[in-house]
Amino acid sequence: MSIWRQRSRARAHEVALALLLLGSCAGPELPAPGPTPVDDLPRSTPPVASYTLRAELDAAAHVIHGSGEIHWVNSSAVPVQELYLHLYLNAFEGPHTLLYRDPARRARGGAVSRRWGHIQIERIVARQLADADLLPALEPHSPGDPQDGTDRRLPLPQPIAPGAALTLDVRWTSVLPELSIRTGFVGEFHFAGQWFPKLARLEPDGQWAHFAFDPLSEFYSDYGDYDVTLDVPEQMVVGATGHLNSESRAPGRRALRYQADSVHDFAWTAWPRFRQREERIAGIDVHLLYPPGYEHDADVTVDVLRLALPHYGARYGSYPYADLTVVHPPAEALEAGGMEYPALITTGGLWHESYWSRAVEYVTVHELGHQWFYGLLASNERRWPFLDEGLNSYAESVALREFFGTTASATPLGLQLSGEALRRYVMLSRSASLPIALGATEYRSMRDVGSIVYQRTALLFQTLANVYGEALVAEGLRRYAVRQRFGHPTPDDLLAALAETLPPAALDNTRKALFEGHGVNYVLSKLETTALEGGLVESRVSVKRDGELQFPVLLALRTAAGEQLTERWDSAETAHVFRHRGQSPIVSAWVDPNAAVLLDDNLLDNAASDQTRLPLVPSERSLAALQWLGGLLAP
Amino acid sequence: MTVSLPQARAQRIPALLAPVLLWQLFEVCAYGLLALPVLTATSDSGIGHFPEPARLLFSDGGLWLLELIHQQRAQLLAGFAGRGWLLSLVICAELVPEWWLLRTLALRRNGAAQPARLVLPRLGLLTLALWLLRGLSLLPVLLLGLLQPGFSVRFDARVLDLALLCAFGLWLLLQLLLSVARDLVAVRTVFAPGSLRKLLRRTLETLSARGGRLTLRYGAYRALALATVLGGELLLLALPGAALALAGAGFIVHQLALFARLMLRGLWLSDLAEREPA
Repeated sequence: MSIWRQRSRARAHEVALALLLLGSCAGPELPAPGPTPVDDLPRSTPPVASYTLRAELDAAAHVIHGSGEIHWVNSSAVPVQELYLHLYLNAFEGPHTLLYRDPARRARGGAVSRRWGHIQIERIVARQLADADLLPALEPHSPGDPQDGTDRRLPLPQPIAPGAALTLDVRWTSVLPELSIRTGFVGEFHFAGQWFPKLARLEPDGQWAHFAFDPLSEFYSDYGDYDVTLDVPEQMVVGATGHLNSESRAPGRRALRYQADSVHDFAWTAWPRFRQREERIAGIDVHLLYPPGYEHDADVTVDVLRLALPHYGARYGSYPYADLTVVHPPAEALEAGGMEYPALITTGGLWHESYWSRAVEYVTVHELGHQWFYGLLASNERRWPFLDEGLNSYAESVALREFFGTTASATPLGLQLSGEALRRYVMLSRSASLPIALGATEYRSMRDVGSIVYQRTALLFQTLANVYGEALVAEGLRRYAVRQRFGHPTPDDLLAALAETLPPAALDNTRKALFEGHGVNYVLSKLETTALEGGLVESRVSVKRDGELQFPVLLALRTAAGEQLTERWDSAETAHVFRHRGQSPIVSAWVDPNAAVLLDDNLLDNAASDQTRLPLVPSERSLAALQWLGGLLAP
Repeated sequence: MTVSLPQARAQRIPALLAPVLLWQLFEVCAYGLLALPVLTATSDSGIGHFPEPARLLFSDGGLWLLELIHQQRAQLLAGFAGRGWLLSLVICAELVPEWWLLRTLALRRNGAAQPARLVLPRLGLLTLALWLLRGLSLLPVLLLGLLQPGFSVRFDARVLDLALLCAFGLWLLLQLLLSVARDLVAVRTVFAPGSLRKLLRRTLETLSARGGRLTLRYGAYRALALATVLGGELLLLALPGAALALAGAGFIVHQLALFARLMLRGLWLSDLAEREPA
């Protein structure tokens, strides 16, 4: 798409947004944005790091023999004298690697493998540099870490000028580990992620964004065109990133050629017992792979994809690829579930879960969301994990609420728990003082990442939507997604898009929460009434705000006569006293009665009343549960 | 005049009423004491200041219930952590109302019962032995669990789960058989004097003669007891507004279910007692 067309559409959206903002004066909620013309967005981007690979799977030994070429263009403004290769399969070399050595930080299904894996580069030759053999110069370990071999410097004999290309002929062997952290094999099931030598990303300023495989971090790469031939035993059913272009057979073997343009990674799976289902959803060929007995999961997955693909497309720009592969790993390979790669996602769960929970739908919607917040918005997941996991968690919340309503996240013992309630519970379980926009490795554990990066980000955006209007937040995110499509956005790009749609106070709150770790707690600190002359009374309601975030909130008041009153407090000051004179005193007051500010540290100090009504139901339910437990333990 | 089995059971109910109600009173008081931290945490949470707090706590979405659990988590954990001994004590003390029920049955049947100082220690030992056997019976299940990944690679997950379900069913049957054995010894301990060895021998003879039928009958009682609990829960779910938000409704339903469970246990023990020689 041309620059002119982009600009003219941006102007049209500004006019529409101005109308929305005018409308916002009339009330707190705005209508949802109308249909957005997102179908004419680009479906590809000029390649920077392209891979033409051939991989031969030795299924008995669980080894991949690979060869091919990497075609790379120096897209920076400066000459480049070195490359960085991410050999992330070396993270599975043993318990000494960065990925495994600190059990407290290990996560994402990080059971210690019973068979370790690694990647061994056997040949690496630079064509444009007189076929120079680069292998002897490849550094033996990650910078400053002799125990880790995942991030390797490769000096070049001569610099590569800006705009110049370099083609590397490579040959390597990947020994897959027993399945751990979404990589490896179990029995005949194979999942190959991070299985080939991959270039780190060169930033425009000529600095390599390279890093060892850390348990708290994911990936960051350049876009490119992938042409990958997978040579597997003939009984294997294969799923992979991209479109299956051709298939050839040799005795006992099949060679499948996949092509994926404008992606930044390539993953694949092979298992002889996969069932296959082909669907066409929103113009996309969806290939579903699932184990025998998971037919109901497959139905549920297809149903939710029918909702989710158009939903995400309408909000964040259409899905650009012709194919989407969805892999449901078998029960013994659950660790491979719940992961995203370009044009390929893995879901998860046991065969019966789809009958009694929405876990399959939730994982599918989350991982599909990553096709945008990771796939098309390829931010640096190590430096700003909130840009993919956090925004995607919010996007997932919005989608699930649209599909299933507000209260249907989980139903333990008949209680309907909403996604927001569960997110809030997880968020509160960790310290709120850490900023959201930290680098992945700056958090202490995966629990911190889960609480702050995933949940606090989602609740920050939900709070912005509740307080300032969902339409404004949606429009800000849409602009961000459309402008940064096939880009490598930073938080500044996000804030720039939000600044066009949200009021300055909202943006200020967003900055404080993202970068400074600020929070807020509204407290209804006092409710008192004094008698005046003439049978009148004066009630004073004291509210205060702890923390630096300042959201405008409502104050719900009720008089002894039953009259309901509502006040607004902009919370610009840290405390305020509302006075009410009349014949009937205020008997109950509640700040933020709709719980719009989901970042509030404690919702239970938001109310005061002249009398306390102790609810006995929790005690009664606990008594019943204990009696039931006693009945089980009794002979 | 011949009396059918259901009629005979119906006639026993009035005799069971007093010990069963006593048992229930014990359970309400003892478990009420155990549930006290929840009452304290709810009271300290501030939820009482909100309008209609019970309805708010159980409103759809669960925001406020989870908020209360989170904000009072430390207090709840501290409250329950210090009560492990109380739970053990309550479970041990459950032997007393059970003994009272057995004693009532023995007096009704024989006009006499063994003295408490002889019976209660034996019942205690018996229960300990039962739990030891239950623990041992868990070992093969745990081993099966460890072997699962190797199995599941080769079979359809549903086939494996079905096999596991069958194994669990067998394990449950074994537990029922253990419970029947324990109850037989318990009844005889209260009903007639004799050495422990004699008691065990007679129990083994009974089990070998009609262990299967007794286990099935006991299983039916336990299933009925479970049905009353589930029925109570279903009733509460069918009336979410009334049952969850109004204090008292849930309490009544749960205590009725508990009464039914205890009465079924009384009937089962009286069934066993009826088979004892007068």
